[in-house]
Amino acid sequence: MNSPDHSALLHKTRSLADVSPDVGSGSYDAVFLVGGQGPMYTFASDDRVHELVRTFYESGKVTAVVCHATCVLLKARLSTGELLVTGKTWTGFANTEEDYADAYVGQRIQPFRIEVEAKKLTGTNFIVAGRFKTHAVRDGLLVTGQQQYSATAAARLVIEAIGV
Amino acid sequence: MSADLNVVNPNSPKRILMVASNPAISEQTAGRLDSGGENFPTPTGSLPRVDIRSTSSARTEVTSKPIRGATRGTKADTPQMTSSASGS
Repeated sequence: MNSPDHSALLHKTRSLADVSPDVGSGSYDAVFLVGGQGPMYTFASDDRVHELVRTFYESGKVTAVVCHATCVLLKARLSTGELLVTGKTWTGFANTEEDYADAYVGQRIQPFRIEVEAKKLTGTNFIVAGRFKTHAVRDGLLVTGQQQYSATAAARLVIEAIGV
Repeated sequence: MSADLNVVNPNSPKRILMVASNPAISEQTAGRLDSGGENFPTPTGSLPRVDIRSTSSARTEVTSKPIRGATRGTKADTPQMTSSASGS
């Protein structure tokens, strides 16, 4: 980060449990789940992360998810029980990109693939662009980015959406 | 696992919660790292045959203009972005 003030924030990150009260009080304008490989193990089945996403979305807040963090959208449900992505167009890490990464390291990295699982869902429109091409989608309050090269594009959509 | 940033605008400051994965402290992976990962879900299936080729830079664009309720990054009504395409 270029800003010393913002960089300093990274030295005092808080756990998800610690930020939950602030989320409930509505003190944030948006949530942005960054990617990396880890979310496939840490986010995918963590109900607290699903709840966090649901809370923001149902509070009318911009909800942004990028790269492998989009795995949360495979399971995150609204309070109605309906998947948050029902009726939505969204994107996430593509099969072609998983293929590339797996071949690069010589082994399968992830326990499942987002594109494969997303296309099993009914009533949602999961789309991907070419391999490692910048691709960000906004559908209402939901902003998604395909992979690491889409984070800036997703951030732009968030900024536009929250009206900075 | 998370940090918060202020999107600074003197007239309209915004707060965005940024959530990042940290397997070292996640309850989903706690204890699993010490076991050498043997408790992680086991990836299944054989590796696909992939022809890895070098990729060139990709010039792409993004927009938020609604397209029948959805938008995707293919229009050119916002500042263009350049992305270098390479392996993850």
